Amino acid sequence: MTSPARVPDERGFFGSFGGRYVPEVLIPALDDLEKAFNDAVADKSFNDTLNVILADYSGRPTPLTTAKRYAGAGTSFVLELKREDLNHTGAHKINNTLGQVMLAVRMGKERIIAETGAGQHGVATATAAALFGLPCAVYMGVEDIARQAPNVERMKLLGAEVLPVEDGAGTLKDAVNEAMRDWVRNVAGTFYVLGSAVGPHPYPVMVRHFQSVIGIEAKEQFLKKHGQLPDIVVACVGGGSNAAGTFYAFLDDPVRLVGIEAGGTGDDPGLHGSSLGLGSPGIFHGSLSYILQDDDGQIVTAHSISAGLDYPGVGPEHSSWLTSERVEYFRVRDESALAATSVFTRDEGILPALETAHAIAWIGESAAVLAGRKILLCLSGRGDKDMETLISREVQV
Amino acid sequence: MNRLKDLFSSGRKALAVFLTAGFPEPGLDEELALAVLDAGADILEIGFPFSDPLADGPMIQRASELSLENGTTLAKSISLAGRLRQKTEAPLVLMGYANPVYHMGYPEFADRVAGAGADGVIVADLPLDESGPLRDELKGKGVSLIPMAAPNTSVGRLDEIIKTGSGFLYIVSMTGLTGDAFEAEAPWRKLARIARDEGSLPVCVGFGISNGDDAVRAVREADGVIVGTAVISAIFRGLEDSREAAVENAVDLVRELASALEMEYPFKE
Repeated sequence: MTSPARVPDERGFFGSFGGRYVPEVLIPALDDLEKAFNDAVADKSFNDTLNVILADYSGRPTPLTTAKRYAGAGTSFVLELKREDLNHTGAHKINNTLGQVMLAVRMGKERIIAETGAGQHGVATATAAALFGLPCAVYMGVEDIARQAPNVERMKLLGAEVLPVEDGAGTLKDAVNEAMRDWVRNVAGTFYVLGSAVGPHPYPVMVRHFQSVIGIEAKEQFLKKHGQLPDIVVACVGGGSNAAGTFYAFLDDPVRLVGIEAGGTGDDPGLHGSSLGLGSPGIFHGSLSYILQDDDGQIVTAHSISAGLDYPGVGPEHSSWLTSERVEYFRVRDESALAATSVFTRDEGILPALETAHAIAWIGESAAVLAGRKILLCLSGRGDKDMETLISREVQV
Repeated sequence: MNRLKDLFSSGRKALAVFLTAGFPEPGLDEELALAVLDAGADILEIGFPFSDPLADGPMIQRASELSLENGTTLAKSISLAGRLRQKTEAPLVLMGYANPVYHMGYPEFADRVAGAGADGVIVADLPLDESGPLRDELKGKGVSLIPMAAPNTSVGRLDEIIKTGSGFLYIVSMTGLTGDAFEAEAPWRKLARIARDEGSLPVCVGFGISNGDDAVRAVREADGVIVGTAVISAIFRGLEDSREAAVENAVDLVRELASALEMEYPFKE
C-alpha cells in the first residue's frame, strides 16, 4: 500500500487523477474560485461564521447513534451511525452548500446555480441561497424530477427555479452538463455550487473540505464512546462527497475504509453506477477520474434505483484512493438496497436514503465476517424523499 | 508541407467551416465537406462526436447526438479526414472533446491523425494546463494542437498559450456556447489585437458568427473566422426538405460568407 496524496498538487491532481479539463472560458473563474477558497479556509472569521451556522442552523454536531439490532448490530458487532440524516434538509449535502454559498457571498457573486440528482443537493443549495438571500436556479433531469417530486416542490417553496433537463437520460449527468453550460454563459456573476467531490479543480478538494466535518466529528465521538477508533468505516459512493468527507479524517489511521457503489441491476454497461468497480480512467465533467465509458470513449449512462448514485463518474480523490488501495470499493445491487431499507428501518427506527441503504446492505451481507468488529457508517441522508420509489416497488417500510 | 502556414502566409482572410462527422448521415458528411470547400471554405473542421459536449449549444449538440446514433466514432471521423485528403489539399482540422482522444491513447491518436493527412486538432476541454502531453505527441507527427483563448483569458496566460500553440489561435468571441449571438464590439477584440501584435500565430475568431456581416466585422481583428452552428443549422433546415436541399443550404451560406470576406478583403496573389 502506498501513501495517498493528502491534498491535490497545485494543478489539482490527486496522484494521477483530477486536473481541470474544461473550456478555456472557465479557467479564470476556477482560478478566482481557488484563490477565494484558499483565502477563506485560512480566514478564522470565515471558519467561525461557518461553524456557527452549521451548529445553529443545520444542527451540528450530528449525533452518533449506536445501532441496536440490524444484522447483528449490538450483539455480533458494534455499528455506530453518523447521523447526517439529522442535518437540516435531511442529508450531508448542506455541509457543502452552506460553505460554498458563504464563499459566493464573499466573492460578491449575485446568483447561485446548481445541479441535482436526488434533489437533496438542490434542496440544500436552495436552502443556503434562501438563507443568504441570493437567487438560485437548479438544473434537474426530467427522469429525476419524476422520481423525486417532493424535493422539486421543496426547492420551489424555497424560492429556487427548477430547470428541467431533457437531454440524454434526464438524470444527474445531464443536469451537470446544463449547469456547466449556464456557468460558461454567466461566468462573471454566477457561482456554481457543485454538489459532489467531482468536477474541475478546486471543486473536489473544496467539497471534500466542507464535508470533512463528518469524519472529524465522528472520529471524536467514536473515540469518546468506545475509547478506540473504529475498525471499519463504511460510506456509499456516487460522486463520493459523503464518503470523502467521512474517510478523510481516518486516512492516516489503521482503519479499513470501504466505499459502496451502486450495483444497479447487473454488471453490463448501462445497468449500474460503479465507476470505480467497473469503469476505467477518462476525462469527464472537468477532471480525469474513473468513469463509465464505451470503446469509443463515449460516456455510458449509469443506472441506480437511487438518483444520488446514478452518475457515470466519481471524484478524482476516490480514484487515487482506489489505485493506492487505501480504500476498498464494492457494489451493491438495487434489490439489496431496497431490502436493506426495509429491514434497517424496522430494526433501528430510522428510514435511510436509498443511497445510504447501499452501504447498509453491504454491512448486512458482510455480517458474518464483521463479527467482533467496531463499524462506523456514514448515514448520509434520510429516506423520506424516496417514499414514491419505495411504494412503487412495494417495499414494506 | 504545412497547409495551415501556407494558407495564412498567403495573406488571405481564412474561412474555416465546421461540420460534424457522420452528420446528417455517413456518406453525406463527405459530400457536404467537399461541397463547402468548393463553395469557398479555406479550412475544414471535422467535428468528432462526444456524448457530453459541454461547450456546445443545442444545434451542435443535436448534430453530435445524431452522429453518435449513426455509429460515428473517433476512428471513423479520422477516416473521413483521410478520405477527404485524397480529394483536397485544404487544411483539415479535427475538433472535439478530450475523452475519446484520451481513450484511444494520445500516441495512437497522433499516428492516425497524421496518417490521415490532417493538419491540426482542436480539443475544447483541453486548456493550456492539460494540453502538454497531447501537444507533444502531435508535434512529433507534424500536426498542430490548435489552442483556444476566451474573452476572459488574461494577457499573461494568452502569451503562454501563443508560445506553446501552433497552427492558429482560436479566439472564442464570447463567454458562451457555440451558436450564441455574436458580439462584434466585445472584449475578444482586445485579445485578438494583442495576439496579432505578438505576431507568431495567426488568429481566427469563432462562436456565434452566422452571416457575411458577422464575418466581415469579426475578421477586422483577425486572420480568419470560424463558422459552425450556422452551417449545421442550415443543414438541419434543408433536411426538412431533402438531402439535396441540405447540401444546397450549406453551400449557399458558405458562398455568402466567402464572398463577403472576398469583397471586404480582395485577395491578391
